[in-house]
Amino acid sequence: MAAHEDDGSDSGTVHWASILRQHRLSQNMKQSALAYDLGVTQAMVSRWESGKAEPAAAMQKRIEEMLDEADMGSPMVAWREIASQQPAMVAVIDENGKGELVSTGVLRELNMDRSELQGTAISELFDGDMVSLFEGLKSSGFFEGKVDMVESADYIQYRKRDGSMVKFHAHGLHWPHLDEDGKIRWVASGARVSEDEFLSMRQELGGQMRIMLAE
Amino acid sequence: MSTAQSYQDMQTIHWPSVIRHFRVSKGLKQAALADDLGVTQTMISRWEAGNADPSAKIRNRLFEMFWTMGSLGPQESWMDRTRLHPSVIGVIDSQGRQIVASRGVLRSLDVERNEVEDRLFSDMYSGDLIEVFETLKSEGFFEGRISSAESVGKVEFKRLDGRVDTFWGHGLHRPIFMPNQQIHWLASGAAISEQAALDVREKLGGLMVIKKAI
Repeated sequence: MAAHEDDGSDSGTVHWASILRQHRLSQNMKQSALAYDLGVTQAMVSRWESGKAEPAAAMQKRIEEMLDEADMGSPMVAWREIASQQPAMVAVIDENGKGELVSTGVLRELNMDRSELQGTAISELFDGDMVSLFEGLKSSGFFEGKVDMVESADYIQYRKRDGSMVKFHAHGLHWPHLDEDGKIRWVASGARVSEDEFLSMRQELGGQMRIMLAE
Repeated sequence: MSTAQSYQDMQTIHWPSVIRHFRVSKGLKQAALADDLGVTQTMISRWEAGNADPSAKIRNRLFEMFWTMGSLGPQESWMDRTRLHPSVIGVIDSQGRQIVASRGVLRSLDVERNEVEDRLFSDMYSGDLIEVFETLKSEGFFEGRISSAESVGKVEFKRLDGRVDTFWGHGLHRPIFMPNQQIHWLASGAAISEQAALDVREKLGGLMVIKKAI
């Protein structure tokens, strides 16, 4: 059972044995591999893990750095990973209208490969409502942080490589995401809806889109 | 917040998992989280290893930071936004009660909000979706032990008039941190074709794949 610690006090003994072991097992490493990374012998790692010896101060610092590196998912990877895994339609689009990532749901609805969509500008792929949606967002200051959320009813017209068009009605919800680089990305999400539902959304929104400005 | 109640709820949370899941999902290094919380990096490492328990103050901070960091926005408006959402999104508590149903849920089931919200999963569904809930629960999802799960299966929705609607669903499941230190199930998904479902099933190797927080 873990000891109860107050958050401010860090005076308790550090259990290097379990920290090292936990790290090693979580990385699926052998003691010899960990020893190599830390520049010590495998016997030393074994002694640390069994609690027979404690790493010296400089080595403790080195271990902390190693743990920190290992524990790091690269920034925002988790967020992007989740978005691209989504069964529903989600896309992340930059201020130039270029698609950075699309979800599994988008690939399914458009019947396309990820490589055909990611890195391509909206204006090259879509006609009509998707283009006017992007223009509408842009002119309302979406990429400058002036918009809180946008709801839209769109008639999606997607141009396939063979020149044929895919058309369907969609209901969309869009919000800004301030990314690591300090720039705002457009997180577009939505679902295919019937024409009747599309028409009633248009009425509800008073047009193609309703823009809710940030306070 | 009643102290007695929060104390009771805290018993069920697995803190090493919650801290690690929180940190990794926000893309933070141990040192960065330590800085935010005003503790040492070693302390974070010890919490995640289960060698020490965070104090009540830190526990509260973590649940608050889930909402203040990142793109979700304040909890209240997040709930309202989720209700508006065109795609299929649900929030379900550990008892299997549907707290929030998105517009996408209402559309795909062709129901009114009051036919799904505040109702129990076991009253509304049968088949694979119930198995997903039971599996998440038994794997410690509501204790914070799971960082995400993906599932594909037949959704059987039991309508109030007794009819059962059946369709294939592909789902992504994540924990969401609620008041009183409760963890709820954030389920998002889509209705898909049988062929797409079989493809996903082959990829997953079964009904679902679970990613543990630790």
